Amino acid sequence: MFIHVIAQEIQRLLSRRRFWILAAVLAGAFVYEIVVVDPQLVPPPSAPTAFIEALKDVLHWLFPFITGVAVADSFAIDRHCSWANFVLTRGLTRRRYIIAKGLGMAIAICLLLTMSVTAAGIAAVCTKGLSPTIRTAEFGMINAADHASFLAHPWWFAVRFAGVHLLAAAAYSTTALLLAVWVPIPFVVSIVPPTIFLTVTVMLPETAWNPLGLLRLETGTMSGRFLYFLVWLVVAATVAIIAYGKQEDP
Amino acid sequence: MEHVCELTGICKQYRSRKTVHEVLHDVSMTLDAGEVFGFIGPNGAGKTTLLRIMCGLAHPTKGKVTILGTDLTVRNAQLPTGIGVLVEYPSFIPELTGRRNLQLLASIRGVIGLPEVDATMELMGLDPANKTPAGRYSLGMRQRLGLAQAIMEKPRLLLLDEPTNGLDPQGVAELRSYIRQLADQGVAVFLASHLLNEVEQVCDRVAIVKQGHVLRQMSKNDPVPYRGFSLQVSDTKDWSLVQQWAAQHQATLSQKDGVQGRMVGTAVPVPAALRALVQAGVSIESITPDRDTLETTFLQAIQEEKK
Repeated sequence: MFIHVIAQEIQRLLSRRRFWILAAVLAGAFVYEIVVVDPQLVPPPSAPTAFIEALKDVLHWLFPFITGVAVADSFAIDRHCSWANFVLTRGLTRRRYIIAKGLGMAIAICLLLTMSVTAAGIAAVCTKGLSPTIRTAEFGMINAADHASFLAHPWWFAVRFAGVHLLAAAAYSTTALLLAVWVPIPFVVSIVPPTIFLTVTVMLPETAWNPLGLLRLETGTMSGRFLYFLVWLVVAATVAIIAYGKQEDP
Repeated sequence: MEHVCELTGICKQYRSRKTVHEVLHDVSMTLDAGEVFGFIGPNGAGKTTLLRIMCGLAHPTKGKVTILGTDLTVRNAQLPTGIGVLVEYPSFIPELTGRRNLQLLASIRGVIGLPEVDATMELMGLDPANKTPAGRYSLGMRQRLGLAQAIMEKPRLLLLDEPTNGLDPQGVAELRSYIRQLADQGVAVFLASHLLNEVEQVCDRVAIVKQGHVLRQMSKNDPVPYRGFSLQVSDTKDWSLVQQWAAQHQATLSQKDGVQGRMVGTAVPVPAALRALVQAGVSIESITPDRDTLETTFLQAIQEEKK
């Protein structure tokens, strides 16, 4: 029953036209970044570098909005239709329903991102070639350990970098889900948290104690980034599940 | 015998910072297999809240809810299988077809497959081959789809909230007959509605509720008090003979437009009154015993509650 509800949530989000529009917008932003912006750099970057730079430039500000919109849309369907009631009256507890819904939502959002990131990868390969020579200076503004890892296996590093962003997406969407428990207005859920996040990112100085410093490869590491989003995801998911479990009306 | 559904002293309060709003107050009832129970009341009486409590979507502030042997008020109680629920104004995933929506719901329990889904859709007057997304369904079609999802898994307890919303007269008649069929097969049906006629025609027992209080509970088998009869005579001349008869039997006669009226306060049954009036030379067009209908009982209960 639990697996079916996860699958349903994925299918439900994938059935929304706006979900595909979001995927197209994100893919378009990546491709634009790789094809139009990067050639201006001298010397031009290799394919994996262009891919990583595009992810760094685009995802940082677009991620929170995309996940917020997806979560808000999912809750908008819940409020608009009686689906939650239909599912809950078939014996699933509210707590398990929200876990299944959260998982389904995260998987659907990750699918959206994977499609867009794949489009970025294809664009990078098409414009820069599959196996270009990596110069040691390339992608140099990162910590030494990660830089060495990048130079050794550039595509593997790029894939891991994209993977961490998928985890970030899950953390963002769980936060939006948590907010949706108390704020029944999809617009607020989709717009307010990313705006706060971006404002904080811009306003806070990059000091050693600032956790947002972890998000920049220059000051943080890939594993630090991973841990940051993992902890965020676990905390937000736990609070959301407890809070949602106490609600009567989804 | 164990009841399919048993509610004991159900209270439901919603608290805000300053006020406590009581939606249900000390509601108790039982529902047995093969019985149709009507819960009627004006809008805001607490019908939907009670139905939500019965299917585990809301928890009572006080009281006990036992459904198919499971106490729903205990912590982490699991809703038993065998319940079909139609919430008020059902709506579905708008981008998917009606059939796909039902198929997804059926996959949750996994007890029925596509053939049963199709058969239920046809039973409810819906075409399984219809490719129109559920979001474009009319109110009546959505209602039929909602009913289909409630009954498709052959529930033992069916909870219906305003099931005839948006249905055309033919749909209402079909639904009424289908509910009776289900009851005859042993399904217990709880019907929350504000349509008295709908409830009167299909229910075995009825509770009248207002502002969360059950004002009256009655059964189809309860003796109906006889109050007198209404009659229509052919001519105004006949009416004076009727007046004489009323005076002889200490009955109160009220007259409408010269040839019609009501005779109340007499214990003389209709056949005897008819014989006596005909023998007295009255030409009678029609004569009908006055009995309490659900509407008169409902209005009476509401009036008494106001006093």
